[in-house]
Amino acid sequence: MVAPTPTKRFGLKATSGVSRLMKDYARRARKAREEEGAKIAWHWAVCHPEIMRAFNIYPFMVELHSAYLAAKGEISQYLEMAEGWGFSRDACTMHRACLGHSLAGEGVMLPNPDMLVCTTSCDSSGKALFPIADQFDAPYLLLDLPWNVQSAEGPEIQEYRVRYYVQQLEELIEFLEKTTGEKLDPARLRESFVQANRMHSAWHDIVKLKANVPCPIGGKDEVVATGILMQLQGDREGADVMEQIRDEAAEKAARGEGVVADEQYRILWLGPYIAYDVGLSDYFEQLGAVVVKAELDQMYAGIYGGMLDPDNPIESFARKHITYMYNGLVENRIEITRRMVRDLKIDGIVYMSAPFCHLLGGGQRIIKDLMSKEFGVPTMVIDVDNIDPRSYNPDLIHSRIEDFLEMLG
Amino acid sequence: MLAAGIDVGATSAKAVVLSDGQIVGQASLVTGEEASVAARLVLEEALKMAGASLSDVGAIIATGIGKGSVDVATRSKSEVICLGKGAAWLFPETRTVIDIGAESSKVLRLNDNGGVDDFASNDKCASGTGVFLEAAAKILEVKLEQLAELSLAAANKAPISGMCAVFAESEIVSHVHTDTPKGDIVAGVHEAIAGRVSSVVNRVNPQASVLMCGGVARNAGMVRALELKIGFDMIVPDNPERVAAVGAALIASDMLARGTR
Repeated sequence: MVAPTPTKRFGLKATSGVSRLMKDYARRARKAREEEGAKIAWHWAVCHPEIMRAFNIYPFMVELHSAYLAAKGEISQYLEMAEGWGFSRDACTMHRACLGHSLAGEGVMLPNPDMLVCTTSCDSSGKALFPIADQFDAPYLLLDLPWNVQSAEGPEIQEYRVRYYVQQLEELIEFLEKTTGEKLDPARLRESFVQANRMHSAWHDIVKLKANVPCPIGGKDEVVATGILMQLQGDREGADVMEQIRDEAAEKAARGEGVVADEQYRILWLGPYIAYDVGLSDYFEQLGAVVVKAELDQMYAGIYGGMLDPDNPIESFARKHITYMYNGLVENRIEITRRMVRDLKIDGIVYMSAPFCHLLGGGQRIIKDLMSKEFGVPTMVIDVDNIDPRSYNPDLIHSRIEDFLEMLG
Repeated sequence: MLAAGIDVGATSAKAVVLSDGQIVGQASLVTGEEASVAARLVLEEALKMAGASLSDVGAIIATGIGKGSVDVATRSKSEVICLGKGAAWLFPETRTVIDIGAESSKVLRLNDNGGVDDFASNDKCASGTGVFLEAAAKILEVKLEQLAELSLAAANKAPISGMCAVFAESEIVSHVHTDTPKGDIVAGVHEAIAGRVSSVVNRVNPQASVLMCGGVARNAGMVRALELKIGFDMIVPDNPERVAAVGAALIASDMLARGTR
């Protein structure tokens, strides 16, 4: 009598096949390793699969794998394993899970690595890198991404930081050449960047379509699309799928169809997704609210910019990554949040605080206060971990969502 | 017709019955039963006080964590909305509501119309809730009702970690073993809870007047500790645990007045 009335969800057909695509990618990687001597690279977030694809390498993003384990309800055992090894519970849960999975040596979906590429962008990623490298006796590289701290003279990026990161990328190429025994193939690099741009361009179109009321694409669709951005940058099939998603969304928008029949509230989701409860966006939809947009895609696609120049690949790549939203001053994140709230007609913000993610957890108070002051848009903070379900009570979270949506009403 | 509100919380159920804008019946009950049974029992108690029966009630709004199980309810409403409505009706000058219940604490900021502009909650940690006080009372072998008197008479505050109720319980045991006066330990516990709750309070930019409700508001020592921590005097209603039920009953009354159900 009092439970929310289930609302039919009109998700996209194109996103429903992505899980199969990802599994097939792993299958192809195993086959290519066996038959063609391809190498497997495990890489952390923003560690540049686009460049790896210029070699005979299949890149796999380890954090995404942690998210898969969480979504399958199989994460706790690996977290406990890593904690038993001595990995701090105060450090990133995604890295902790991946260490646990590596220690278990089970090879679930993810083929074992021939090399590891990590970045200083996340503070605890390096802490997971070294024991994982030991576990597999694999060569590794730790990229040092300089912070995008604006100069006193103005908001422009400081050129010496670009030069520094270009050097880091040249070291990456040297590392990949040494590990694979191949020389960088410029034609292959160009093709990878062209495919990455295709994917970005389609994603930018999709984000523009999200401005439609009702919104043709739901929160779950965006989670899936973000997985593609994370894992399949530079991959032709990944770009194809993103274009299919765009085309289907455009058809829905042209017909005036939304992801729910009666859209009442439009939500912006800040911070990471709750990987063990991706269906939480369905609960919003049952209550007439659509998670129109999240922000995690900004690490990979940058909806306001972020295109690569295939004719000047390394420098354009360095610029893109130094200026990604979380790298540096919070003003960048505030401005992008401001634009999303305005452009996508947002009614309320949900901020997943993710206490163990030191990169995404910062800035919540200033963003909350500014969005309230400038747009009258309130923010609800959810204090749960994005990967670890051990302190999660779905009933309480559902209750808070009801509170928030009734407050918006 | 009468209007009723039922708030089913983690450990207790509360009911309020309204007639012509006046509270004519109210009751609280520890929820040893299933939520649906507890809701019926507490409503029966409140109706008994009003000299009425269920057939006299035109609309019932359920709220609280157990609201989905209240099968006698006409509709349900979120606890935050009900708390805001109840607080603003009881004390119209209220702009901030602090609700500390058994297993969660919530803070609301209200606008001039009694609507909720912002809220924040502590749902994952027992150190800012009533169960922590119950655990402390048990370890100290005192009744829950004695905590206020003990802390208000204390000369000192024994240091207690505010971060984790489980660790804090072991700290209380350590203080007991070193013969720290019970009043000092309770004062320390209150300060620890106040610290935890104040961090939630500050998230909503609190403004005067501040109303404290929930079962923990019956503890005057806890109220004082929180006042010192947040820097505001607080209003405590006569039946602080029933504020959400009052708000639910008001919403039911509005429904009756509008002829909607």
